[in-house]
Amino acid sequence: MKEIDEILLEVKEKLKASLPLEELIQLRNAYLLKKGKLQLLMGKMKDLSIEERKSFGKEINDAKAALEALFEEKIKEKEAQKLNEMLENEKVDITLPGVSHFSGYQNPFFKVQREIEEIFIGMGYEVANGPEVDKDHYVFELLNIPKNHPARDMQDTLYIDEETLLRSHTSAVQAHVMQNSNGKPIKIICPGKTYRRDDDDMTHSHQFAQVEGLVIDKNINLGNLKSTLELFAQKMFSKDAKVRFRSSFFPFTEPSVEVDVSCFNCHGRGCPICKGSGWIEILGAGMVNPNVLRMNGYDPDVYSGFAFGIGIERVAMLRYGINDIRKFYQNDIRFLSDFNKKVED
Amino acid sequence: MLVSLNEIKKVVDISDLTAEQIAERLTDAGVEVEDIKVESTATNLVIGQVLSCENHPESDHLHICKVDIGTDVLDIVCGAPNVRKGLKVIVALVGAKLPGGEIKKSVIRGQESNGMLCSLLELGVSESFLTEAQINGIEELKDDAKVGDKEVLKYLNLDDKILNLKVLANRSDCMSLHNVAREIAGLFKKEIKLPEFKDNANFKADFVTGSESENSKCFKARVFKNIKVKESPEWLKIALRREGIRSINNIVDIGNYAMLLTGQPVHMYDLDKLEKNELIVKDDFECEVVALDGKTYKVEKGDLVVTSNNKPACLAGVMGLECVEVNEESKNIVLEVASFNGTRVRKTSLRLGLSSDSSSRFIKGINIENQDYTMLLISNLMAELADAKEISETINYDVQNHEQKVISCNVDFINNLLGTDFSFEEIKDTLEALSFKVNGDKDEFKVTVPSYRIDVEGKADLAEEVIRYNGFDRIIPSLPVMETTTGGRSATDTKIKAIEDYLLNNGLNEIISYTLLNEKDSNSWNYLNKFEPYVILNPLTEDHKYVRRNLLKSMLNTVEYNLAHLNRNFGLFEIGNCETKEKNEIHLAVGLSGVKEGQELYKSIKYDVFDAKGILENILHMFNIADSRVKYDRIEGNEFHPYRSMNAYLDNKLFAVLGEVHPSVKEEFNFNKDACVLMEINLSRLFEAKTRNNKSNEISIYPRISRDYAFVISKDVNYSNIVKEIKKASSLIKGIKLFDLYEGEHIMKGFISIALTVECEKQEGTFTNDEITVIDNKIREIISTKLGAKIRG
Repeated sequence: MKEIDEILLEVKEKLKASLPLEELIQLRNAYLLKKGKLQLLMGKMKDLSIEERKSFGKEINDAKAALEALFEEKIKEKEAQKLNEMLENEKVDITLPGVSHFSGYQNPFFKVQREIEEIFIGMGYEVANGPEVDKDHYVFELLNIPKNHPARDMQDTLYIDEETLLRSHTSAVQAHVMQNSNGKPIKIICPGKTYRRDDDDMTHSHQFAQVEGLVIDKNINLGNLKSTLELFAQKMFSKDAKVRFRSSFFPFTEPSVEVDVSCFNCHGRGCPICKGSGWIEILGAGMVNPNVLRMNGYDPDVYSGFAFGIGIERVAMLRYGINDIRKFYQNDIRFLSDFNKKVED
Repeated sequence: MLVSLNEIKKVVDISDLTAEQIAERLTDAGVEVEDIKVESTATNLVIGQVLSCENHPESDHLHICKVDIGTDVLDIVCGAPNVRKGLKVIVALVGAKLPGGEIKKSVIRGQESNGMLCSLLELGVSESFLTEAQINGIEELKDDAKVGDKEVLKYLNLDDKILNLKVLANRSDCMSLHNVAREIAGLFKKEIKLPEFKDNANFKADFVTGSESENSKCFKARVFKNIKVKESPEWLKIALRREGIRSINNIVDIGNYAMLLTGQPVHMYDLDKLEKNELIVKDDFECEVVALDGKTYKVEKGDLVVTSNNKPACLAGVMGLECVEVNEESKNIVLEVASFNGTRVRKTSLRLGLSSDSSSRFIKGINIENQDYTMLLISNLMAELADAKEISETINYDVQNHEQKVISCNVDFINNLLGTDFSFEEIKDTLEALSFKVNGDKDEFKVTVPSYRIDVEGKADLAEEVIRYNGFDRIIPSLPVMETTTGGRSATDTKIKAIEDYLLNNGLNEIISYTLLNEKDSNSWNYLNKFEPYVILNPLTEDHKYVRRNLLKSMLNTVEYNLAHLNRNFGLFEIGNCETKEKNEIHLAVGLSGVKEGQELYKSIKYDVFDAKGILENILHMFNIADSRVKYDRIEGNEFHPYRSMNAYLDNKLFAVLGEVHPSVKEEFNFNKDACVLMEINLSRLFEAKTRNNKSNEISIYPRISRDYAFVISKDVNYSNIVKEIKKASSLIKGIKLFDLYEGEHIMKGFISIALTVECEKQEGTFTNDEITVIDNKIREIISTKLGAKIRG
């Protein structure tokens, strides 16, 4: 029908221009709503024969669908355009810094302490604790260092009174644990602060910390100590780490050894860290002295054990190349911020 | 302990070994050689003779010398006052390296000089071993020096290698050259030949020795008459010099030399100065004495004193007394070879601050089977070097136990302890090489311990001998086989770790600080723990004298340090012990300074007391502790801001303090510009509190409804009261949340505008409008009537 074609043409013509969304909707209404132009054509229906009505009705409906599709397309286009404009207005500079949800730095002292703990917990060790102000009895006497024994000269101790002192080694916790274990097997580590009458300088500190280890059972031997420490060194320093024993003396162990770890930096070739030797001294250890076992309720003919003492700062200094022990206690945030990697390779 | 290899060579053939080889083997076996010393490192020396010596025309003290060095004649300018024609001298040639530097060809005030004439000082010999003339001038060589000889150090006896041993407390035997020689011989499987001495005693002295103290069980003496006190011969001086000991005279030197060789300290008395012909050890004196160093010392009961006629003659084992000193005029002397209990000597030595080569040997323990040998050694040296003609027999007081130490052992014990597979033969060979005697078989053998190895007491010690001798690479490494246990941390440690993680993940940095404080610091910031502090009896410095009772002071110092270094805007925390006689507590300190990131992008907000309070509340929530169990009140004092700080009580017990630092404190610390908030929590108290474990509760399937209220209220009404009152409106109120606080413009002074959301929830069914209206009206009534506030909008 001519009128219908005209309307379609008319609309197509109007939509060629880029109309704003509101006008588009108005226009659509003008053609498609009840009083719209297309609808008005329906009025002509009554003048037509039944046959004609059928085809006329179809024609009108087709035109309606065509118009609706035309408007739909244009409106969608416009809506998308509008959304885009809105989004563009919200544009940010993606190079601006993020809002901080900062995770704090941990003093490397605690990082290393925790790591040592985790390594030994993984091997089934319990973490024990003891007082920092302790009795002479536990710090010395039960560890085979009687009063006025020359071995006391090995460490200068800070005393509170004749019987009370700031522990000079975490070995004191050994005595506490043994006394409380009623002769049962023991597998513990005890990390903690220790104190000595020392001037503070780059390598000495009146306060420092150790992790003591103690294993007691039937059939514990020096080879067990070596394997245990080697496993520790491999976790702590490098996968291919080896340990070496050298004869030494501590009153509470017999035999006593100084333990060297193969240099994790040069892997034994020799470098400034290991002073060219390929080995780094990291801890003291040994088999628990029979006197210590006896004094603390273990029959040395039945039980044996090993003990070791690791210096926390020493390990941290080696691992991170820290050159001054005082840095741990200064807590300069610039220093702390060097240790922000939470899980290290 | 310095060990001259020349001395070792006298008793063990070590000609096939280098000093380095010996040092390495000793160190591996537990006798650590710290370093190898040489007496002189000088190179390029030759012996010369001064042919002519003329004064330098341009100088009042320089000389121009022509020096014959055998192959050449050199022009050398020399400033020594004693240089003269004919003198045999040490010449350092051009290119020689002396401790002071390299010798170069030079022109001194117009005169060419091709080398230097040297003193021993310039070769590196310590001043203390040289005479005044030797220090001020060049060395004057004896006639036997051969011109042209290039082995100058050898000629001067300065070519010895000296091992510097670090003797650990267990190896006191290594404080004797003979014993070190035994160790070296044992480790290298060599023979040792110690000198033997004939007894040259020729009379019986009218002299008595004895002891009235438990702590001295042996006192042997000999009397030497008509001796001559004089200079020691050169060989003795050199031997002592190598051990770092200065020569005094022949008598003192003999004593020192004998001690160095045998490890047995000895002492000499001037017989004619003794009140009586006796030396008796006593330990019940209280008096003052003047020791050989000229100083006065106070003797207390218990100190061992050697007496004659009940008058002190020696601080036994520590130092002799001036009144009976042997000097140049002495003619007749008494030699003491005794045993003094090490523990007792240590006590006296520590108290008097007086230690000597003798005391350190007694303290570590001596070989009681070596005393007669020492006596003979000295008797022979006395005859040889002091012309002693009358030498008495030994006056012998000895009630020591001379029983030999025998240890019963078996092969399995040693292998089980070491994780090794030594055979009986290996063990036997090892022990015998180290001078032990072994009898028996692998299942049981008896080991006789050599008398000088006082450290060897039991089977474990024997195991140590075996492993240190054969090397630790004999150990077969294997992990311990034990019953499986879970391991892990204690409950307390686990809680601490949880708090640590919470704080770290909220951007606070974990620090560690010193436990020991000075007096002033120790007495500040004590809120949670007011018990007496532990005080160090022997502090090294006043700065580290008191065991801290709080962590706040250290925290404040750390904040100060960082601000002073321009590190700004940070949160810090520390967890540590606060130990007092009454209680050991674990505390947590938090320090916040500057600004934090705000809610909106790039807006910074100053830290204030509510940041600390928020942390405290969150920690409480971590332990399921309801806010209602915590009460707060204001802190009195002048360290915290009096109106922006609080005590916190958990179940009515003080457990935390928090607040902004008082402006006057901030001024004192010079950081008044930056905000500073401190908090300390007694974690031990928190951990003691009853807490319920997590449990799932029924949650309503119906949505909550919420209503907002804004009102202006007097600042005298506490927020906690407001909440308490509003809650009374209905049991269906499940939450009250503050979302705005405002005071200032449009609000009367003394009043504040508060906006909050009230949330209600029902277990059964949704709320009807009526129900909501009832609750809403009730709340409005409470706000306006009970709380006296004016509802806005």
